[in-house]
Amino acid sequence: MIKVFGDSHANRISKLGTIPEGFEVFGSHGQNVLSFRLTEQDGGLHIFADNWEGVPPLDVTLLPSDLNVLSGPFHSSPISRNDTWRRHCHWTLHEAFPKLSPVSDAVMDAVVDDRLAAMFRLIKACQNMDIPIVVIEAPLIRRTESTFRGIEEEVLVDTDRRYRDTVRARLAGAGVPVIATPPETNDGRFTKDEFGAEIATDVHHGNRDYVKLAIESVVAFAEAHGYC
Amino acid sequence: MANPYTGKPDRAFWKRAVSTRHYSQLSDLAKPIDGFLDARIATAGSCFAQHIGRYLRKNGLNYMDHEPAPEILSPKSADRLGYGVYSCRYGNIYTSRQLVQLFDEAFGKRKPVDGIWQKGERFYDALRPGIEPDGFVSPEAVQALRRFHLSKVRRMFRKLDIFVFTLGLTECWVSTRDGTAYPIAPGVIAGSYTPQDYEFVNLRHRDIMDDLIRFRAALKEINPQARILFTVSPVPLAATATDNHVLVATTYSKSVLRAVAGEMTDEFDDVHYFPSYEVITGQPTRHAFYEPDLRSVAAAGVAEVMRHLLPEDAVPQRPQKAKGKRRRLYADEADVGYEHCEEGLLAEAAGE
Repeated sequence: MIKVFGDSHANRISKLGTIPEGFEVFGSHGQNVLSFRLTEQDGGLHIFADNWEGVPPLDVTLLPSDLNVLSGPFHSSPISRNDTWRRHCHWTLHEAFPKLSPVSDAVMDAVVDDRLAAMFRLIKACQNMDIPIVVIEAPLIRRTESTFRGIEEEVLVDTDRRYRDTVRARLAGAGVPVIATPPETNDGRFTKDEFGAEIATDVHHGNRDYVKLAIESVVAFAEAHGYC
Repeated sequence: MANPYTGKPDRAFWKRAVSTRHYSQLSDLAKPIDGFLDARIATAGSCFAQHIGRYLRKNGLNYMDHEPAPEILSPKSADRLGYGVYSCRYGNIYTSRQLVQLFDEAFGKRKPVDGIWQKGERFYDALRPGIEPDGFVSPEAVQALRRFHLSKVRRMFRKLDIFVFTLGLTECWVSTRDGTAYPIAPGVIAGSYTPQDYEFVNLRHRDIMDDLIRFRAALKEINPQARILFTVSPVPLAATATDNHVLVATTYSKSVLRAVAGEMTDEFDDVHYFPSYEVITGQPTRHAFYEPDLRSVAAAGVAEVMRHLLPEDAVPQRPQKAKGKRRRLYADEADVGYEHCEEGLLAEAAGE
């Protein structure tokens, strides 16, 4: 069994995708991967969180016999679109944007470590119980007016990239494989319009076509690693 | 028969002002500073000064924060990276020499020849090595962020009304090449100690007087209205580089610093002294405000100091700001303690 679980990007897969046989999707909300209850249950790990009203709780049991695909660590939108970047930028951009206060690399390191603390607790617990776990990358954000909210485009793109690079490095350090966002869905900076959510104000979810490619990526990973 | 003490107030007599009072009843230790409640106040100094800034900010005074934390950081991470600890992100300034050199560097009058230290593949700002505990990724990053920092320091000195400076140490390590004073010995956090590049200096009374007189004059030149409030840190030395016992070295250091602060106050009308040192080390508290290590000051001690700095009835009653989306940037006093004390690493570095 392949279990995709986690944030709202998993929820999109659950709602929009044609789910193949041997596949289960447990979508929820981004808040539910930041803080959850973790208990050992029937030889597996049970995760439960209901931090957000009106959205299905995160309620899934991960088993050693499954390939467990976590969507959550790459949920970059709250980071790259944070108001902080209206006043700050990475130090390498300060010369181009002198009105913004430069920050060191340690700021992004701290942001990632704070944000991923619970998810790394989960990853470590999985590894201790020989439960296979991989991470699926979320789509890049979209280039729409509502994306920027007063943030310079270069600053936003740079922040998003640094966040993802830092997450990727942390996961690599923990030996967790990453299923990358399908390359054809973005131009290296933003998700292409034809793969973005139908609602213009939704700046970070994928549409049905995106979800289709994301599922194919998971299947390809599972096949390559002998899970199906 | 009249004598010169006749008519002196109670505060002038040990028996009336100290012997017969519990420490919590001590009062009138220092004269109030005119305009303190509305003044733009900046803080700097040795680690004890961190408490003063936090207290002023918490109590709604006009505390300057010229390098605010990026809001995206958690309060704990912001504190770890030295945001919100002082009015600018300069880390601890333990000595008068560091202070005067920071001022000069900010205003382009000096440039340290050895300002970047390395540890493994990481780079540290040698003048504030504690602000990035894991170091910077490159020398360029150190330089870029230092340039920005200095621009904020310049602005702070130009805008402040009162500069609160806590004198911490007389002992320091300096570069043999240009006399740059560092907050910590090379090789403790980063860099490496070589006798040809670094030497130990124990600043004397006249050195510190000279530094502070120079600093005051330079400050007044760019900000004629500025006033200075000195305090002396009650935190003993973590280690001494002299041949003296650390207790003896501590007494020497603190005595010299206290004497200089007193002399500066007597010499200049715009220089004041606040007796945080006396509140903690004085007989009334019987050293009860020290933690079991007899070095760290307990939270109750910090509160007692602040009671004298800003009595409850003097705390400004400002209208509460509406509770909005903006979350707090900085950790509470109780959450942070003495995390930012490079000097405290000395014993550890020596294998204690």
